[in-house]
Amino acid sequence: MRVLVTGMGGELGSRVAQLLEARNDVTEVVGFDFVPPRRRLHSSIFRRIDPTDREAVTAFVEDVAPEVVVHLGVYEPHARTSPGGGAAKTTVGSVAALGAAGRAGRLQKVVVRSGIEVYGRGRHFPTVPDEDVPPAPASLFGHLCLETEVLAAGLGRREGVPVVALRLAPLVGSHAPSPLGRLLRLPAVPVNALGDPPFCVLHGEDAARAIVTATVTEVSGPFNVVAPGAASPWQAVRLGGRIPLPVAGPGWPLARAAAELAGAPVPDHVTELLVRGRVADGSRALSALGLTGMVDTQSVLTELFEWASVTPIRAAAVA
Amino acid sequence: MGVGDPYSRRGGGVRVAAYGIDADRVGEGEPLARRLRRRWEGRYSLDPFGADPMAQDLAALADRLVRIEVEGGEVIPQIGPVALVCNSRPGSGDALAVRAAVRAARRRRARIVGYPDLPVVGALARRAGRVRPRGEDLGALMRAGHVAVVPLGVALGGRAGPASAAVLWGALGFPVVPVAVTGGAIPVAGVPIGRHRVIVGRPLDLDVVPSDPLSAAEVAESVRAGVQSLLDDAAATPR
Repeated sequence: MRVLVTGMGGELGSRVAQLLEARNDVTEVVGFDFVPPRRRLHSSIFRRIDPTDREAVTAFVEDVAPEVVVHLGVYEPHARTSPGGGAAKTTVGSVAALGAAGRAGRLQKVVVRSGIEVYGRGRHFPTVPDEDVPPAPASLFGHLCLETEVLAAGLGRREGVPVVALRLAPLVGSHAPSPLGRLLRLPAVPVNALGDPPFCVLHGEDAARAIVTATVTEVSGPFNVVAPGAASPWQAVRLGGRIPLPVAGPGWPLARAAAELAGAPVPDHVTELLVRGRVADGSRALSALGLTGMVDTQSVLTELFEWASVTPIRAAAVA
Repeated sequence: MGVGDPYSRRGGGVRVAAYGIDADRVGEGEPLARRLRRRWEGRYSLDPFGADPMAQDLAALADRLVRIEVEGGEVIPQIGPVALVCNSRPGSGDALAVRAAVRAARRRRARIVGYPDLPVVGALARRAGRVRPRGEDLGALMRAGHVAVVPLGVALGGRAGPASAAVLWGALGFPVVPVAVTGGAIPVAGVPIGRHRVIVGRPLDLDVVPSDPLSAAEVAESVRAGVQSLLDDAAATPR
């Protein structure tokens, strides 16, 4: 099968491409992104196209005529792009790539990257939503994820093909560009003074495995993919040996500005996570996708703080 | 599994960082100094509902104010999910009595559904194992294999208050057990005196999928009736 991977340049996209390359049932892996792949790819074909360049995306995808689209071109604000830039890349790129994939006429399946940011947080919403809870995003990234899911579902209906939406928990890792990861690694981290709601994250490797499994398995519909267990912002900050700075109400804009100056801009979905928490019930994905041995939330966070240091080669070893 | 192992097994073979503490079953204590040190380093267990076993055990100290006697405790399963639906009289700590009964009968940490929805207070309640009163959250609690204590609406002694269909549908497909709490209902300065009698009934047969508001309400009504009939039996057979 011929697979198109949008957003192939990113941390997640390049790993998914590597895993797809290694499979016998995948004959061809083709992808594009606005940045070159972060990993070494062997047989994949990569084209550097900015997703906002509608004509280029359309021409490329129609030429590829993919059987399966793995749509990872959903750009988290302040991960590698500004919020506005990420939104434009996500919206324009999704419409162009999905539309062209449908028109090319060989489409059999669509897998789209979404996030548990699509669920509403706060007192009027369930704390641990499963996939049956209607999405009600309150952040830019949540809206982008939901919009992409809706576009993909529309394409699925039009072409009569199954659509899988993987609602991933926030991806953090010592190498992954992530606004949450950057914020947690600051020496002092703003946390909610009036509460300490739980959140969960996801290991990049588990996310990539889930996406590949969803690509080659006969499943459809939305799935929450979250790491087992949870942590709270206060706890995460202490796990990294950082100093928690309690912030409430009007203190948040100030804390966000200070964090941005310190090199960790805080998009609204990260503030939402710190104030209202972010968890979801991932049991459906565990059974349907057969995900085993997932790295749990606190281990992912511990790994985030264990950024491998440079080990100097000893003089004796060199001589 | 020793305290030194930071992992413990939960259902489905999923490993989560728990530092040797079982989030469901009450275990042996670990030395206070080590416990405080772990806490300072952020190494403590927390589940997606925001519950922390140590905070749950602290909250369970309050249960000791409520003296209980349990009948039918063997109905509560040793492992796996169950929703215990109990009556609730004003200020008498009935849900606490049921939680204490679960601890006494099965050494499990029960989660009470419902808490005061206020800043700080609500956060602390969730830390201590309380769960938001919503069907989706009760369903997630059941899928995660916990014991839930679902208090009915507040009503005076001998009556089972209204059942919330919006909450109870979450427990469908899982064992739902009515529980009656009597006695000990004279609050003095918020502290109930006298012994609570906790009677655990038989699991209800709720083989329905509420597809519409009417059938959901019918389920809620049959749960309420189950608790009411237990209360009537208890009144007919005093200790």
